[in-house]
This record gives sequence, structure tokens and C-alpha cells, in this order.
Amino acid sequence: MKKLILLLLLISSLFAEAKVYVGVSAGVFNETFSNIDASTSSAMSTVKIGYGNIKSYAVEFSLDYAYNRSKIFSSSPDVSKDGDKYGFNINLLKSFDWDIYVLPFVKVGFGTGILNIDRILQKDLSYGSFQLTLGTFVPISKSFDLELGYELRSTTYKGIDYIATKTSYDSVSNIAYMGINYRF
Amino acid sequence: MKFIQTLLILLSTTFFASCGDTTLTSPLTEIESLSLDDSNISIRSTDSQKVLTFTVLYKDGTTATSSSGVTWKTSDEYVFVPYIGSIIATNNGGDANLTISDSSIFQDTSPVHVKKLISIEYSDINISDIGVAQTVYMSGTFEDNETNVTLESNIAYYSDENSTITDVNETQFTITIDNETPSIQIQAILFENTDNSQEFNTTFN
Repeated sequence: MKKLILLLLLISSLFAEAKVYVGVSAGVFNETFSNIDASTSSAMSTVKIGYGNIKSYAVEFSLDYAYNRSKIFSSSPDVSKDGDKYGFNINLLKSFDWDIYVLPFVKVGFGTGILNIDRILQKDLSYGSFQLTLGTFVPISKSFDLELGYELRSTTYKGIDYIATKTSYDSVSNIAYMGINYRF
Repeated sequence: MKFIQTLLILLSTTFFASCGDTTLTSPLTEIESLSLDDSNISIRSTDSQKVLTFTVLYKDGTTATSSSGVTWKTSDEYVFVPYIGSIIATNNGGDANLTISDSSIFQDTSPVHVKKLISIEYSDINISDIGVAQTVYMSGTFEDNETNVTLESNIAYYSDENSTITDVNETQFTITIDNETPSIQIQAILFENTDNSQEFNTTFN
């Protein structure tokens, strides 16, 4: 019982100044596949909602949209590129108050999403991802802060159906982004 | 301040790293066609199964062989039924079609002929040898005059009230004569308890 009370006190202290916040960001990414000779680079944007303290911990739920310029999975001659990519992510964030004006943070999380493709047997491809983000918040007012970050994302796409086999493809993405958050 | 400088350098580096190559021609191949490897399939009515495979031809000219990943269908379940990568006969003779498909785009069909069992041949027994276990060897003759065929499956053997059958396998069973009798009846039922059951009876004198 004492341990439970201590745990609750710890959690309540961690989130004592917690706030709901929303944010948008835009960035560029470079995705390189490990088991095929393919890569893609393009732009992506994110909207998110989070809950936490800018100086300690937070949890974030985000939606990604990535514009696609590459043709990696689609086989149809009628299309010049794969479709766009939509994702949903959950991240846990730890930021550090080092009295240096900015608040560096580290995020870890996972996500899932879907990539529209055009193959004879498949019109979309789902994926799962794990990501690690390093960045910093730059407070610009009581409610607004800028967010600069670098994200390393490992993605595994669901198998492409070749009938006799199903082959999964893995990639690593480098993402640089900048965003703005509003804290209620 | 140093941290911000470092971060901005990192972000700039990542930004330029992020503006890398973009693949504009898919390196992945696509399916061209799907075909059963056996285009004229036959199976004996007493075979335990017929293992089948199919081949996928890809647009880059490569192929892959498999027995799974498609749907297997029969045109007549009273002739044979398919499983993943195999078929078994359900009737003593007959013709039907086997179709494999992946969605409605790729499919292939092959005729399947079930070879009819004409007769079962048994080795001799001594019916006056009461109480002694005797081994009976059996084999089948099929419609295309194929003789001495091992009867792998689908047959149940029964003896009359004067004898007992034990240890039945594909090639032999053990029979013990229980009573003094002028003859012993052996009943072999193909596809027992189905609408397609057929009896092959023999008398040992």
C-alpha cells in the first residue's frame, strides 16, 4: 500500500504542471531500404496532441502525412509514384530543464500507418515503426514554443504478396522537422 | 547557446541528408501468371493423397514454386477434395477440375482423373489353421490394368463371425480363424460411410 501511495505521489509530482498541448510540424525525410536498393526523400507534416510538462515528461499522439515522390512498391505503369503515407504514432517524451533557455528532449515511440500503392494484388501497404527523436523546445511565450527535432525511424512494411511468397521490406528514415506547439 | 548551435548544425546536416536520392522505378517485380505444375492430374481412389505444387511466373522472368498461398477448389466434391497443396479422392473413379486462384485475377485449372479400383488381390490363407494368426497380403488392380498397387488409404476391412482381423496396414493384415468353417468372407469397403462406398468381397475356401 505504501509503495502504491509513493508511486501515485511520484506520478502526481511528475505531472503537477502538466498541460494538454497541440502542435503542428513540417519536415523532410530520407528513407533508405535495407533489403532492396531503394530510397525516397520528401516532405512530411505532423499534427499532434500531447499531455505533459514541457520541463519533464509528456505523452504525445500524432498523425503523420508524408508526401511521396518515389515509386518503390507500385508496379502499375499508369502511376509514376507510390501514393502518400499516413501514420499514427504514440511517443513518450522526456525533456530536460538545464537553465539554458531551450529545453532539450528525447522521445521514443512507435507507430503504424498505411502507404497507398498500386500493385495487381495490393492497393495499400500497412507498416509499423519504432522511432527515437532528439530535439529541443524553444519557448517563445507562455503558451507557444517552437520544436526542433531529428527523428530516426525504423519501419517494417507488411509483406508484398508474390503469391508463392510474401516479402516484408524494412527501412530506416532520417527526419528533420520544425514545429510549433500551443500549450493550454 | 552551444547546445542550440550543435542542434542547428545537426538539423542542417539531417536536412541535407534528408534530401537524398529518390527511386523512380520500382525494384520489385510483379506477377505475370500462375500455373499448376501438373496439367493432367491423376490419382488412384486408394491413394492417401496426391501432392501438388504451382509455379508463379514473374514479369522479370523469374519463377517461384509453392503449394500454399492460393485457394484450392474442386468442381466436384464427389470425385476429389483439395487441401492446401494436395488432393484426395472421394469416389472410385471420376473426373473433375481442380482450380487454384489468388483473388479473381490469377488462376489456373487442370483436369483431375480418379483412377478406379477394379479388384483387390489377397494372398492365400489356410482356413483349417484355427487359432493361428496368419498374414494376408493385399494389392489392387486399377482401371488402366495397373496391378500390384499398394492400397494406401480409404479402405476398411472386415471379416465374418468365424474370423478376426487385426493389424491392418497398407499392404497386409493379420487374420485369425476362430471356428472350424468351410469358408471365410472378407469384406473390403472403399469410402465406407459415404454415398460413394463400394464393396470388394472375397471368400477364402
